[in-house]
Amino acid sequence: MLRVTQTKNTLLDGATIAEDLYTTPKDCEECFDSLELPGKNPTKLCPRSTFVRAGVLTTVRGSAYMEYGNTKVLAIVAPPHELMRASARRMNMGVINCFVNFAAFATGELESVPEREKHLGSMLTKALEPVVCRTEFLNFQLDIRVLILDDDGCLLSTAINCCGVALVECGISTYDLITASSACIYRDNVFLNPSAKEEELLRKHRGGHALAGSDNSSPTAALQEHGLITTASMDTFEQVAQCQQGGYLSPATYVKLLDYTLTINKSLRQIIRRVLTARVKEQHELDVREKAESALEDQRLAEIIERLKQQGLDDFIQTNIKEDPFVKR
Amino acid sequence: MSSEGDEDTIVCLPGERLCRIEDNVVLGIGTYEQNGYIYASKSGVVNIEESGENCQVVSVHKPGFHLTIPATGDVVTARVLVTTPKFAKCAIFCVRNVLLESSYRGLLRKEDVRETEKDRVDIYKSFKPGDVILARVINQMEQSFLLTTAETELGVVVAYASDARKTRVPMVPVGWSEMQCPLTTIKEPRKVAKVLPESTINTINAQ
Repeated sequence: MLRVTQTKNTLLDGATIAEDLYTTPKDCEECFDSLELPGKNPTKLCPRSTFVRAGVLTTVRGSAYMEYGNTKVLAIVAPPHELMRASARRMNMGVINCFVNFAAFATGELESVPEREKHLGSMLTKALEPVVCRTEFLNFQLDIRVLILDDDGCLLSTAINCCGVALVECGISTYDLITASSACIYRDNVFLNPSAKEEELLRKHRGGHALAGSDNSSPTAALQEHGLITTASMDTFEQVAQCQQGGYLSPATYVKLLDYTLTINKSLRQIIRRVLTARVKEQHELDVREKAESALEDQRLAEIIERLKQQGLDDFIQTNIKEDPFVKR
Repeated sequence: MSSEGDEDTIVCLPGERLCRIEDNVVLGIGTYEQNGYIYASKSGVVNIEESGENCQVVSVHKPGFHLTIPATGDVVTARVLVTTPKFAKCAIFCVRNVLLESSYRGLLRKEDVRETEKDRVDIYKSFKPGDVILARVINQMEQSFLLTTAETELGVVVAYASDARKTRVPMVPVGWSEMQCPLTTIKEPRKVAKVLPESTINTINAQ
């Protein structure tokens, strides 16, 4: 007879599961109050702790991992291969395909995941197209895969940063380094690098608007500026690779937010430059060491050949016979 | 912008300005031109080579992994996958002396099998699926590379007799259009390559 003895899992029973970090409570007001309000003109750029590393995976050539605050993203670039779809071949440039995937534990709501993945993928493709020298791999497609391990806002910008590093790591020609960041405005407060909570609030606000607008209950709220912009820039030529904007913004606010994001991009660029330079140096040292080793090996072989020439074949064989230590007499 | 290393190595990143364009400066690998300046398009070590008549080639060498894509004129090693009356499909797995990570598709048309008597070529008498061939890339088509073996040095290098046996012994070339199995002494028609050392192929390439 099978007897099931239920043992108490002390670890699980004792621990309390932390309050879900990334979902907003139903009450928007309460949530808004709990936030730290940066005001209309934020003075500090509220930088997030950033961690970038190139070449994290050994099985793939171009890979990069990036942590931006709590947002964690892994990007993989495979070497270009032939076009899969026949329809894509009418272009006379290389094709870039981006595939974004959420890890199962990355986000709270699972319903909207496929839609968001698709949207992020297409936005990422648009952002990376100006950077890659697409003329260099004509009739080829470049597959970029992004895995989102944790989502705490700034998802698109972090993914762009991470892909930029992975592209360079893979050795694909790019015109410049690409950096991206986002900013949003909500109730006269400018949030730089908005967290998941703030982005969610914004989304709720927009959703609520459609309802509120229909019965004209809050005409003033409808005019209030709200919106999120994500800017990807290439700083060598002061070019903007992509600027995505959602919501309602007046031109002046738009320019202001754009300036904020460009400033953050500049600071991010410094970090990425440092990381990549260190990476190149590291690999260069490895290369030099490898070369030295192979030169040593060549030298050794050359010496043996020299000896062979001097001694003649038979002599050489006789002098080089060694007793096998494992053979018993 | 570029940071100096220990032994005079200049590390550069994409988008870094390297030098001004002049008449005697040539763009090498990993660089591009914009507004009269040469910029780096890869991360790596800057290399400046003198190449005759006071001409300088500026290139960026990326340490570690190199991305290789077959280019027109390259000698590639490929495996024959399918043979049809008009063409043979191949999988390119090696370019020059670089082993690829993923294979590229290659197409060898009937007209490109040999130099002479092009109209009498029979694909089935030249290649069999599974053969390893040396070929030269002549064009890049939309979904595959166009290959040619119309040179004495190009053609089948490794082939096995088509009767299925457990001992896989490669056949030995006997003549320019025949190979023989050393075990069963069966002769099979192939477009045999006259394999040369690599150095000679390179000199032919340069001519």
